[in-house]
Amino acid sequence: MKRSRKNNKSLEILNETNETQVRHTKKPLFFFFKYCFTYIILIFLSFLILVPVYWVVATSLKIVSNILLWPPQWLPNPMSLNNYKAAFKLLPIARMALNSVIIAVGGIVTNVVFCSLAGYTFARKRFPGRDTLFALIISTMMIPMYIRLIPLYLITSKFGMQNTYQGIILPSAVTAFGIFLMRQYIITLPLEVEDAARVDGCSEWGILFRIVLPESRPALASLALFTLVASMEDFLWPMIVTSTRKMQPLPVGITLFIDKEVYDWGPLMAMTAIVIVPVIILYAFLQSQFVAGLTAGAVKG
Amino acid sequence: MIRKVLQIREAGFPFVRWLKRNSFTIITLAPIIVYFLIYVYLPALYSVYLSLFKTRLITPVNFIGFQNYLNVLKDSFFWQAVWHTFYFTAGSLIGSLIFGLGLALILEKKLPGKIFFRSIFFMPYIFPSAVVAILWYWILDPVYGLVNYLLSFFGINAIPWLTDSDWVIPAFILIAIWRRIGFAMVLFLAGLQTIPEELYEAAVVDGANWWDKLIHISIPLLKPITLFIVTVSTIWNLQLFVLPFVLTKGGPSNASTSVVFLLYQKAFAQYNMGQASTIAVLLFIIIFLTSLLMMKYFKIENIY
Repeated sequence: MKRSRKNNKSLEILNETNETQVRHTKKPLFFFFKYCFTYIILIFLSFLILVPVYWVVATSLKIVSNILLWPPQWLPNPMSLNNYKAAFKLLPIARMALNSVIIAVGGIVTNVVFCSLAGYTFARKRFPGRDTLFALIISTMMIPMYIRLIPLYLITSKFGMQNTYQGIILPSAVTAFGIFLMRQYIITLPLEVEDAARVDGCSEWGILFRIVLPESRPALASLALFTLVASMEDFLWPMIVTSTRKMQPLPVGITLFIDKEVYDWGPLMAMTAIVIVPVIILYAFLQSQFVAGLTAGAVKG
Repeated sequence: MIRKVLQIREAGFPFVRWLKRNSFTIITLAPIIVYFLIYVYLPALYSVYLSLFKTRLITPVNFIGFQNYLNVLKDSFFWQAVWHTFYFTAGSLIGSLIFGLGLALILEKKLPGKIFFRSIFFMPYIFPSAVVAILWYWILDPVYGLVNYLLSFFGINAIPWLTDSDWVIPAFILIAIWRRIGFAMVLFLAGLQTIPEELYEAAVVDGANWWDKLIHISIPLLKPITLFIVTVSTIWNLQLFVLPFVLTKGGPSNASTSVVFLLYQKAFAQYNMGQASTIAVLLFIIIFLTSLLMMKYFKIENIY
C-alpha cells in the first residue's frame, strides 16, 4: 500500500516536471504572441484616448474649407494659423489665460500657506478641543460645492467681490482636504529633529520654516498639484461670479462663447487647443508627480 | 536683565498672558477657523435655511416650512433629472471600473513602456471638464464628427449622439469613461501591488489558471480600493453639470437634465433661490444616502 502511494507520488512529480518542461519549450513563441496581443490592445486603447486630442489640434490647423470635408482629412493640408488669429480676435484669449493662471496660482498659494500652518498645529500642538476642532474641519469634506453655491454667491456680492479675483479664489482658498493631507504627512515626520532644534533655542516659527516645511516638500507638491487640477476643473463657480469676459478664466470664456455666437469650428478648436496643449506639456514634464500626487491625495481623501 | 523683561511681559491680565503663550497656535488656526465659519459652515446652513422660505429674487420673504420640498418632490422635471443623473452615474461607473481594472491587469506585469501607457491613459483626467465637453462636441457631431466617421468603417450608420433623447446620456457616459479611465486604472494598479505574490504562487501550485486567480484572489482583495473608487466616482458623477450645460442645455426636450443643472436653472435663470436651495439639500441627502448604502453593501467600515 504504502509503497504504491509513494510510487504514485513520484510519478506525479515526474509528470509535473514533464509538463513544466513542455511549457518551457513552448515559452518563447507563446510569450511572443502574448506580448504582441497585449501591445495591440494597449496601442488600440491609447489610440482611443489620444485621437480626440489629436483631432482637435488637427482641426484647429486646417483652413476653413477643409474642416467640413468628407471624408475628413487626417493631416491638415495646407496648414494655417488663421483659426488662432480668429480666436484671438473673437475673445480676449491672452487676458483669459492670465485670469486662469492668476486664479490657479492664488488658490495654490492660499492653500499651501494656510493648510500647512494649520496642518502643523494640528499635528504637533496640544490644546484643549484640538481633536474636536480637527474633526469639525475634516467633516466639511462631506459638504460639496453646490450646496454652498447660492449662499456663497450672496456672501460674495455682499462683500462686493463679484467679478474679482478674490471673489473667484476665496470659496476654495482653504480646503479641509489640504489641512488633512498636511497634518497626516507632518505627523509621520520624526519628532527628534524638532526637539533638538527646540533645545538649541529655535523658535516655533523657526522650527516650522526651517525644519518641518522643508521636510514636507512631497506633501506640499501634492497639495499644489491637487489645487491646480481642482482650479482648472472648477467651472460653475467662476462662471456665476464673473460678469465680464475680462475676468473669466479660459474654460468659462470659451464655453460661454459657444453659448452666444453662431459657432465656427475652426476658431473654437483653436481655443480648445490653446487650453489643452499647455496642460499636456505641463503633464509631460510632471506626469509621474501628477499620477502619484493626485492618487495619493485621492486615496487619503 | 532679559529674563526680567520677559517676566514683566508675562505679567498682566490672564487673558493677555494666555494669548501670548499660545500665540503660535492662535495665529495658525484663527484664519482657518474664521474662514470655515464664513465660507463653509455658514453657507451650508444658510442653504438649509433658504430652502424653508419663499424667496423673491435673492431675499427670503416668508417662512413656508416644507412647502418647497413638497413642490420639488411633486415636480416631474426633478424626478427626470434624478433618473438621468443616476443613469449617467451607473453607466460611467460600471464602464470605468471594467476598463480600469482591465487596463490595470494588463499594465501590472513587467512590460517595457508601461509608464508611458499609464501616463497616456491618465492624461484626460487632468483636462478641464468644460474643455473636454467642447472637444467632444466636435467629435460627436452627427454629420462631420470623427466618431461617426470611424463607426462608418464598421457599417454603423451615423448616430445622433447629442440630438437624440435616447443617445444623449450614453454619449455623456462615453465622455466620462474616456476621462476617468486612468483614475480607476491607477488606483487598481496601486491595489494590485498590495496583493502578496505568494498567494498567486500558491494558487498556481493548486492548478489555478489566470481566470481563477482573477476571480478568487485579485477581485476579492481589491474590494477596499474598489469601494473607494465607487464612492468617489459616485459622488463626482451625481454632481453632473458641465456636460449637459455645455453640450445640450438639458435638451433635447429635457432628456439630459441633471440635478445640479436643474439647481443652476432654478437659481440663476429663474432666480428662485428657495427652490434651488431645496434641490441642493435634496441632492446632498441623495449623495449621502447613496454613499452610506455602498459602504454597507461592501461591508467595510474603514476605507483608509
